Formats: sequence, C-alpha cells, structure tokens
Amino acid sequence: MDCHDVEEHLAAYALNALSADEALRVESHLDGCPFCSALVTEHVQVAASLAMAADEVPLPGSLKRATLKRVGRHARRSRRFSLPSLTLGKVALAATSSVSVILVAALVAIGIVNVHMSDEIDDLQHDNITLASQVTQLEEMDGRLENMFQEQRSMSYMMASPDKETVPLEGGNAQGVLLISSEGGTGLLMARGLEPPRGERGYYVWLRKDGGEPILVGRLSVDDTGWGMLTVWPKQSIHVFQQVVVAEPEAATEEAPSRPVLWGSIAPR
Amino acid sequence: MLNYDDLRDDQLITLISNGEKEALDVFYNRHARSVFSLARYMLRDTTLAEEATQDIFVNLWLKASSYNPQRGKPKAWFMSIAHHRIIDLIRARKRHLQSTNEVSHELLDLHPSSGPGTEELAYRNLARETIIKALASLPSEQREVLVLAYFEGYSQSEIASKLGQPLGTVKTRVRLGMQKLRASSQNREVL
Repeated sequence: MDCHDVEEHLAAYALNALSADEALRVESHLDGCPFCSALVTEHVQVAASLAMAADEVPLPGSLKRATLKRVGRHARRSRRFSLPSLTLGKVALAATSSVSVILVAALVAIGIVNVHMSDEIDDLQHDNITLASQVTQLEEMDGRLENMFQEQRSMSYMMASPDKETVPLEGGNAQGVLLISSEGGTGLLMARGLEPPRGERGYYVWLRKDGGEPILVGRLSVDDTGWGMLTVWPKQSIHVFQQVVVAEPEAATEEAPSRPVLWGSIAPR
Repeated sequence: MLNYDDLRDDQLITLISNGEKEALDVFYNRHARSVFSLARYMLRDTTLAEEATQDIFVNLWLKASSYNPQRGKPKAWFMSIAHHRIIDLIRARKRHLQSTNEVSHELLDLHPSSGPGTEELAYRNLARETIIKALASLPSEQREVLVLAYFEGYSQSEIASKLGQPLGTVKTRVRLGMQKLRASSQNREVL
C-alpha cells in the first residue's frame, strides 16, 4: 500500500472497520510513514470521541476491586517471571567468594526451575483437558475398530470355509458376490462398480422368498470407487430365502424393490 | 510524596508501564466510567461489560509501554484500546447477540447524565452533547455507516452486505462522515 491507498483506509482503520488483513497492511505502512501516522492520529482522536456518545452508566461498585485484583494477578506473575534475572543482577554484586557464586547460581537455578515449573503446571493442566478429550475419542475409535476387527475375522473365517456358498450378483455395470456361511446364519456381501447412491443412506440390502415380502437385512455404504461390503445376520437362515436384492432406499419401500442395482438367486439347500 | 491525582494521563501511563499500581488506580478513577459505559452500550450486557472493562485495564497494565505520545492523546489511545477489545468481544459473540437482541442504536436523542453536578460530570455531559450534535448533523447515510462500524462492530464489507450497498459506496460514506466529524471537532475538543 502506498500513502494514497492508506489514506483511503485510515477512517475505517480508526473505526476498527477494516478486515484483519487490511488492518495489518495499514499498520505495516504506518510503521514507516510519519505523514500517514500523523493523519491516523487525527482519525483515532475522532473515533475515540465517538465513545463519548454512549449513554453514561454508573460503574458497578465491585468492578474496581475485581479489576485491580486481576491486574494484581498479572503483576505477581510478571514479578515471578522476572525473578531470576533480578536476583542474578543484585546478588552477583555481593558475591565475592566462590561460595557466594555457587549460592547465586543455585538461586538462579531455583528461580528458573520455579518459573519453568509454573509454566509447566499451566501447560499440564491444559494438556490434561486435551488428553481427556482425546481419550474419549480414542475409546470411541477403539469400539469401532473392535467391531471392524470382529467383522473382518468372521469374514475371513467364512471365506476360508470350503462349505461356504457363493451367490454371484449382477446388475448394470456393477458386480458382486454374497458369501453365505455353511449354516446360513451369516452372509458377506461385496460389490463393486456401484454408482454413488443419490441419498446419504446408501443402498439397502433385501432378502426375499418367492411370493413373500422382502426383508431388509442391512445398509450397504459405497466408497468413491463404487466398492462396498456388508455383513448380514438375518434372524432366519439365509438359505430359506431365494433372492438377494440391493436397491436404493426409495425403491426399497415397495413390496418388491422395483429398481434394484444388484441381485442374485440363492440356491436352495 | 508523589500525588498521583495531580499527574497528567501520559505521566500516569508512564508510571503504569513501570508497574506502579497507584497510577493505575488513579487512571481507573478517571476513565473507567467512560470505558464501562461504552462497553455496556455496545455489548448491551452488564456482565459482559464488566468483563470487558477488566480486560481493558489488564491490557493497559501489560501494554502501557507501547503508548507513543506522537500517536495521539492518552485518552484517545486508551479508548482505542478499549474499543478494539469490545469489538473483539462483539465479533466473537456476534451471532448470539444478533439472534437474541437485534437493537439498533439511536444516538440522536440526547439524555444528559443525571447525578451530582460535579465539574467532571458537567464536562462529560458537554463532551457527549458535542459529539451527538456532530453526529446528528451528518447526512443520515453517513451517520448510519459510522454507527454500524463503531458501535455495532461491523466491518465495511459487512455493512455493504447488510445495507445492500456497493462496498465502494460504504467506504466513501465512512470517509466523508469521519472527515465531517473531524472538521466539527476541530473547534471543540472532546477528549
């Protein structure tokens, strides 16, 4: 910003009506420009006079005590932080023997340790709150990971079993497979090539008997690549059903999902 | 023995920067009411205004050494610090304040402060009357943007959006309004 640009902004700067970025650029210019600094002084004076237009209200009686108390806390903190250097300066003058020098060093060390410990206590209190929050998040994540692990384990077990039944699924551009455990209690559905679903609910997975109403057994989430996987544990054995259907939720509200994206026939046992 | 009450504001600020709490005590007695009134007026909440006032005097304690007499009079500098802090609070709580208490400030009705007719109060009343008259003499569109900026804490961009006016128009109104206030304050010293 040159002087002309800054001059355009000075009134708003004095009113605190610039964006943070604009204010920084103005301040950067003011630091090196006595002409604009003199101008801004006038604007600040005018802006400050606006404060006098506010309705005068009496001061609460307790405010002064509370304010000075807060300032006192800062003052003590400042003294505490400056203790090592002051102590060093004063005591060093009196230190004429090596013992004194050692004492000075010890005092300085104690002062420094005191300041550091105070800092560290504040930091630790802050860290404690942060850590407690992170522990909660980790516990939630741990629960999710435990579920995923159990799911992966049962899937591996099923895929390794020679007794599993494999039901190929077909659709437009999508393909998939439903693996059914030997006893029919668990099914693992894997699909690829699915379009991202229109809604946030993903796809619904249904099992259907010939002539019967379809039963909703789960929701299939699909990632950006069109891949999705779902473990199903229907109340009845999967073998009593004749068809598996994957459809969008809107279509699945009908007795028979009218617009399935994947389907497959389950062979009777 | 030093009588702090006899010192000028700039001398008090120098002593405050040296850590003298007695100087801060006197400075508080002189200016806390202006600060608290401004905070109460802008924040529209007494508790928040008390917090803001405390923050502002703590800031003064910590930053007194940054006062440069060449950058303006002490009270203008201090009120600028105060205004900054109050604006910060407003912007932090803007959404809440707007949703709960959408009140526009009306500055044109002058209500002189009541109470004991001390010289200080009389001076404050005069100062307030002066600035309110100066504001009232502005064209309404210029007064509006100054009030929105100074008392409501809106940035120029936000004002443009709120009023449905081009940003350039708002900037011009702000600039012209401040120029006129400056011209009218040259004859009457408010701070």
